[in-house]
Amino acid sequence: MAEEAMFDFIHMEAVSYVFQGGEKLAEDEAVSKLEHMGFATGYRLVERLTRESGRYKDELDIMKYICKDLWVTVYKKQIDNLRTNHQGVYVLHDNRFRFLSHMATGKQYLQYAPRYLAFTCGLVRGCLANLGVTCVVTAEVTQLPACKFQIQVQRG
Amino acid sequence: MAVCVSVIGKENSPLYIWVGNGKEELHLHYLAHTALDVIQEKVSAVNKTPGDTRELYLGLLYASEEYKVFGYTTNTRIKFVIITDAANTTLRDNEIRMMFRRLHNMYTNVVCNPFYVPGEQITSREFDKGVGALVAGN
Amino acid sequence: MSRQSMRSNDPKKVSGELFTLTYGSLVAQLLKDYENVDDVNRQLERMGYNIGMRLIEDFLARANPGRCYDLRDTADKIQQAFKLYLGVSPSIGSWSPGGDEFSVVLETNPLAEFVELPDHCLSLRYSNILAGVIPPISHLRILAHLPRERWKSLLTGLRKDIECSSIVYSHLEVEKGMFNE
Repeated sequence: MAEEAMFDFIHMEAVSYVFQGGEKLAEDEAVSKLEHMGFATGYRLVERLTRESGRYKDELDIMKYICKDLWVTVYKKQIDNLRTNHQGVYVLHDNRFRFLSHMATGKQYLQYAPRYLAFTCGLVRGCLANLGVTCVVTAEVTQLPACKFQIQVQRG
Repeated sequence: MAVCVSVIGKENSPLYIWVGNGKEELHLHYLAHTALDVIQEKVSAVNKTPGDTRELYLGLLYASEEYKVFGYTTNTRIKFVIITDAANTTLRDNEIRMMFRRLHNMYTNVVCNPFYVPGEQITSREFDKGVGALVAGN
Repeated sequence: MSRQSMRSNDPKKVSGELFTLTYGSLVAQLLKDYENVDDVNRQLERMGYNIGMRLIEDFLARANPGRCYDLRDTADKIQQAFKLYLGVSPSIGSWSPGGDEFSVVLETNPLAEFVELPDHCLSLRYSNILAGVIPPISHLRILAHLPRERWKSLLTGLRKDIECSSIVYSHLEVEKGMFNE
């Protein structure tokens, strides 16, 4: 579907903007800008997407929602595997992450992969924040195009 | 029709309140605020009984001699309260539900404005217009 | 609009909204990064241009739109591309007597669906990215099939796109006589 392509295009533009912007941003600052854009997007998106759903029962219920409905909406597939230690850590495995699937596989590209994950970390954090779950989201790539997102819920 | 429409944020701060002309504003503010406790109760009660429908619309929260107070909560912990005249018997439950859904849609559009900062008071012209139409029954 | 359609979670519509919301976050970020709104407008147009370059490849592969023989063909393809990628059909009109200028008008602008501009950035051309997208998509079609074509495109951008319900006004000019070569 062509509408999906627009999301990919705008994401690519956002990535190249923060990394090649006129000011030559430091890597950290660039990543945090992308994360922030993801957060703002996720926060708003989840407001729209959950209009039809019944109220979520608990945290796990919300995580399942992220892995299924949200992932399908945004990335057109479900998360392949969800693990939790039942103490506020959730690990989401995506064996073929959309934003990495265009990248050639090879060690030399691996270093650029985090650039394509920052927006999504923010997106997930934004969705969860709006659903009442405060957390830190990090991502890791071991072998392209697979990656995992780790959600650490902040309690208190 | 409705005499008061209110949107209340995650931390129970009011984001928006509309009160019909000539109504006792302070009293209605008070009623809308009191409704939050009932909403809280209803939400946590449902969570304890599995298999219950967890509908966003919470129905009639309470009624006084003068007013009826209805509630609705989103998954994002925003609360909506609509107050009607107790004397008004023409409004059916389903119509109240539809009003909430419209309000919810309108609120969602406010949040989706990239210039709106979540948690701030709602100053949107579109939202004002929408609430105007809602309470006029259009 | 019926209530039903307002609330439908049609995947096509959701994809469109995802793009709209992501775009909104990007514009908000640019406004933070640049002090000057004109710089934001320029940056958006530049991004549109980059997107246009990618989009034309995708469009050719996906829609196989066929050749363009003149500017009216080009206008048709622009219309087709908007329909395909944004889900809205702009109207094409206001042709100049010489047939070398036209307008692309969007009745509804999906990018600006939820936007209410704050007072301090009324000179922001919120949807300027669309102004940037058009030159590469039209440009490349013509260049591909008329290699000797010299082609000048001029864009006046979007006029007051929020206030007057999202009108895209773009304006292309071709140097005369080149089609006959």
